[in-house]
Amino acid sequence: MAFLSLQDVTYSYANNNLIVDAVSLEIEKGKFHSLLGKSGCGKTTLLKLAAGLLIPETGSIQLHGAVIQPSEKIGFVFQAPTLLDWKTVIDNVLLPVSLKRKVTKADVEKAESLLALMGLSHLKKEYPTRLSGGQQSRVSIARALIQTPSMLYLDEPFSALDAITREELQVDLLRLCELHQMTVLFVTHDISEAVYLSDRIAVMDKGRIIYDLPVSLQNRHTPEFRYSGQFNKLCLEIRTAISGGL
Amino acid sequence: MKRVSIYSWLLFILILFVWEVLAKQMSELVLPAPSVVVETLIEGLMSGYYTPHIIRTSLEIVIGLFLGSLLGMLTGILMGEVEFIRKLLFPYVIASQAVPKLALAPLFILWFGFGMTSKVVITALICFFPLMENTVTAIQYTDRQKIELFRVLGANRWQTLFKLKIPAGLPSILAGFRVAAVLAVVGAVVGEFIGGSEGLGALIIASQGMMDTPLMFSVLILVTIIGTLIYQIIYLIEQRLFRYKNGS
Repeated sequence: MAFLSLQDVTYSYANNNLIVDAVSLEIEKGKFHSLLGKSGCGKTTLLKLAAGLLIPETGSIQLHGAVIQPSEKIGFVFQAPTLLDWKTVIDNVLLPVSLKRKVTKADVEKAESLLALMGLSHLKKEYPTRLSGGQQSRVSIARALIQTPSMLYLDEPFSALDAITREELQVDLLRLCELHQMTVLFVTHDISEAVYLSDRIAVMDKGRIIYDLPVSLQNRHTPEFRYSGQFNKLCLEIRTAISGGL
Repeated sequence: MKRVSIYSWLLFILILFVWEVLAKQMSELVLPAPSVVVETLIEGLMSGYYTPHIIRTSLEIVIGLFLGSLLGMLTGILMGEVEFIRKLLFPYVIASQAVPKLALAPLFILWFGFGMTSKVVITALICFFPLMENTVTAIQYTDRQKIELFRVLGANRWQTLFKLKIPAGLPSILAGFRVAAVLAVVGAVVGEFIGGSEGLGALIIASQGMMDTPLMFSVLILVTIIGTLIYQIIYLIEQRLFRYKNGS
C-alpha cells in the first residue's frame, strides 16, 4: 500500500480556474518524490493539498491509510524560511514542540543535535536576522524535522540560494532523509535538482501530471553523478517532457 | 554620525543666539529672550510653582495614553482577527476618524466636568485611533506563509494570535504607540486649555491672561520636555524589545 496516496484530486480557486485537475499520485514509504514544472503549473497547490493545507474539491488524500490532517507525522518546509524573527535559532527549531507541550531537556538535546547535523551549533543562540539565506533554510529544515515526521513536504526550499549552497543543502537533506527513513514530496522547477534528489519525478503542466519518471540508478547520490552522461540524459528527457515533446 | 550630532548642537546654540539678539530688539511681551525664559523656568521649578501642574498634566497624559492605547489595541486585535467585527465596525471607525477629536473637547468638559476625567477621556480618545489602526493592519496582514506554517503545525486560533500575529505585528503596533504618545501631550494640554484650573495647559492660558509671555514660553518648554521624555522612554522600550532585529 502506498504511504501517501492522492486519488483524482481536483482544486480550483474562486474564479473557477482549475489549478489541479484530477491528479492521482502514490508515494511509497521512504521514497523521495519530486513534482517538477513551470511556474503556475499547480505544483505548489498540489503540495499544499497533499499536506492537508488545502481541502480538495473532489478526490481523496490519505497518509498511511488515514485522511490527511496536520499532525506530528508531517513536516513542511516553505519556499521562504518563515523563521520567527523574535525567536532564537534553537527556539525556532523547537517551535513545533512548544505549540504542543512544554519543551523538555530531551527536546532541546534533539534540536541541538539537528543543528549540529546542519553545521549550525555555533549559531543556536543567534536571531535569524543574523543568518545568511542558506543558514536560514537549514534552520527551517531542522524545524521541520524536530518531531521526526514520517512525511516531509518541501516547496522549492532552495530556490533563492546560490548554486553552491544549494548543492550543499541537497546533500544535507538526502543524508537526513536517509537517516530518519522519511518519505518526501519535493516541489521544484530545477530539473537537475529533481534528477539528483529523487527516486521518482512527476512533471506537471496545467494542473495535470503529464510525465512520470522513475530514477533508479546506482550511486546517483554521489557528486560525480551530477556530471555524468546518464544524469544529463535524464535531464534532457525531462526537459523534452516539459516542452511537450514526449 | 558623531560629527552630525556636534553640528546639531551648534545649530541649537546658533538658534538660541539669534533668538537672544532678536528678542533684545523687541518687547518682552512679544518675544522674551531665552535668558529671561530660562530664568523664569528655573525660578518656577525651584519655588515648586510648576510642580502640581507638571504632575497633573503628566498623570493625564500617562493615564490617557495607557487607557486609549489599551482599548485601541484590544479593538484592533478584535477587528483584525474577527472579520464580522471588522465589517461591522469599519464604517463607524472611518466616520469617527473624520471627526476632529479636539473639537469634541468642550463636549467632554460638559459630560465629565472640569476635573481630570474629561482630560483623560480626550487624551484616551486621541490615542485610541493610531493604536487601533496599526493593530488592525498588523494582525490582518501577517505573513501568509507563517500562518500556513502554524496551520501545518496544528496550532489553534489562540496560539496563532498570541504566538504569531501579535509578536509579528508588535513593531507596527509600537509605531502606533509612539504616534499616540505625541498626540497624548496635545490632547491633555488642549483639554486643559478649554476647561481647567490645574495643569500646564491651564497655566499657558493663565499666562496669556496675565500677559506673562516668559511664563508661557517656560511652560511650553516643560510641555516639550515631558513629550520628549515619554517618546524617549517608548523608544528605549522598542530598542529593548526588538533587539532581535539587530541580531544581538
